[in-house]
Amino acid sequence: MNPLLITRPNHDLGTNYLYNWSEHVIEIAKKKMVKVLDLKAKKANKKNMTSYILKNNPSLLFLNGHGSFTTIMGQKNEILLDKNTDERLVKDRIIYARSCSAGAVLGGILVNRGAKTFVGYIGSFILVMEKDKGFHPLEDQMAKRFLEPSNLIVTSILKGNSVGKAYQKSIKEMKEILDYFLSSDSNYEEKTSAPYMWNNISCQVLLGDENAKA
Amino acid sequence: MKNKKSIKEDIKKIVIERIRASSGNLQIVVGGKGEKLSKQDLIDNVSKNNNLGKEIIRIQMEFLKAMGSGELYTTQA
Repeated sequence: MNPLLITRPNHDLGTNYLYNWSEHVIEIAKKKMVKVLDLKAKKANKKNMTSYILKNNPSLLFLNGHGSFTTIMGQKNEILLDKNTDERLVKDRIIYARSCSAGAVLGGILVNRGAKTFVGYIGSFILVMEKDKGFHPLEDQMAKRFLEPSNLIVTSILKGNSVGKAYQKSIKEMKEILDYFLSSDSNYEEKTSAPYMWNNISCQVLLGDENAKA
Repeated sequence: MKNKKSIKEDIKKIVIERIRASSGNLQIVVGGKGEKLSKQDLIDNVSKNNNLGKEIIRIQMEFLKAMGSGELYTTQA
């Protein structure tokens, strides 16, 4: 498999959680002997991303950070991809954007530019976290519920599944967590979090070729 | 009959009451914004009806709609 390119800024609390929880994906990639192009923190900028993609030809782009209908951003919200993106950066690649709203407009544009598949969100991606865990993101059990299903998209692709299969696995995991949140076994915090889990389920989209593999 | 503005105000009140009844031990990050939001921050944004507040209203109402339609409970299929 061609390399995995990951961008993971960490300039605020939300991106710092994505940064830390992406480590697990990197571990799986390394176990699978997939080369990881890890653009972390300050390295998550457009210049680096462009250079790494053109030089290494990654088949899978895992982009963490803030987003909007028409942009995906890196460190300090520098725009990494937008509607004017050079098609060489996306052509024949699978893209998963763990960022808000880019699935609504930009995802379709990137697929039209030649990306094989785009997975993202047509609205906000919501992360619920425990109040006292800000400095210890990996100990945050609530955040785990929100971030593991999204990690599953990438880890499942790394294990050889099609993007469609990876997408379905992620949706299934979120639905199982939601079912638990809505059950009598869940606690007050978990019940409170149900609307946000439902949001992530209903906003997650796959555009392009669902049979594509990395 | 209630006009549109009055219905919107009612919806806002419902969402604020739902947030008020929720746990105070959590904070959320709404993707496009980096900052963490406490329970009180959520209530303040919904009260102001700014863009973030409108997004919170949308999320809570979509959840209630899905609950009402039974969509939430068919997820195990």
